[in-house]
Amino acid sequence: MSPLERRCRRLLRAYPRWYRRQRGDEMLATLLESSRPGQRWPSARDARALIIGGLRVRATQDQRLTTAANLRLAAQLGVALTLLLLIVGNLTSAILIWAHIYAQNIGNGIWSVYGLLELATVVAAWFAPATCRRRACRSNCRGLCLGLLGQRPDPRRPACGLAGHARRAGVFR
Amino acid sequence: MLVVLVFFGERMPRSWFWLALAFFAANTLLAFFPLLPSLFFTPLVVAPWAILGIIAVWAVVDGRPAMALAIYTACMFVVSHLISYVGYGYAVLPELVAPAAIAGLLACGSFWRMRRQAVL
Repeated sequence: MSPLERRCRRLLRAYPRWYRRQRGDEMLATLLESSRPGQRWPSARDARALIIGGLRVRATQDQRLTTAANLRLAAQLGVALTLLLLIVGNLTSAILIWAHIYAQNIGNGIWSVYGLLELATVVAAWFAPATCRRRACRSNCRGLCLGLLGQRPDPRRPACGLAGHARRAGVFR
Repeated sequence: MLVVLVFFGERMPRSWFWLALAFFAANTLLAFFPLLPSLFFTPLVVAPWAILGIIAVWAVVDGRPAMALAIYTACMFVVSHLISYVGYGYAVLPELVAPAAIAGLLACGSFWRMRRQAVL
């Protein structure tokens, strides 16, 4: 592999993997054919075009979706970021109280459970399979709402995810 | 709200998870500041804002994270304060104008980008 080819391959990494798999060889061949004999570096113009082209392809990854679907995805991320900040507040205050950094005692550990439930909901939104994701999110949310309202969950309704573990441990009693 | 959005069936890209994780880690370290040496204070304060700034700049490439940032700004700095003010019976304060304007500008810009990028 010549130095020029190696550097061109490196520049092609600006494109997503699926795009490189489809068109990478063709693009590389074109770049190598259009180079001068003995050329070791790709020209500045080619480099700029490859980087901007790669970013554009990455940007159009959402072209397969409608505006409404993209808006829903953006809303998911926005809500997830907001929840994450609340989780940080809940979990760190619980840990700092436990470590006696803060003198006052504002709870009996319920905030750490809420924080973990929220965290599980956010992580489930990303990683759980579609049906399981809905169940886990719904279950965690129901456990959270009932806990906040001070009510006991209905024992006939099965709870999955972290809410189920919290219920079985008697946290919402 | 997240549960309702998940019911529509779209899944967020995995690459966004690293973004959220970095944001979470930066804020967690900031919250644990009392346990850390004071040398780390400035980088820890700057890190979450730097991440949000990168998201805003990335709007040139993909408008969705910037729209998420607008929603986050609205939720954290506008809606929560509005609810508090209404709950305590205060008038709406002028401090809310700046975050509301930032959220509105971000939402408009990113929506324009998303309209240009989307199928329909």
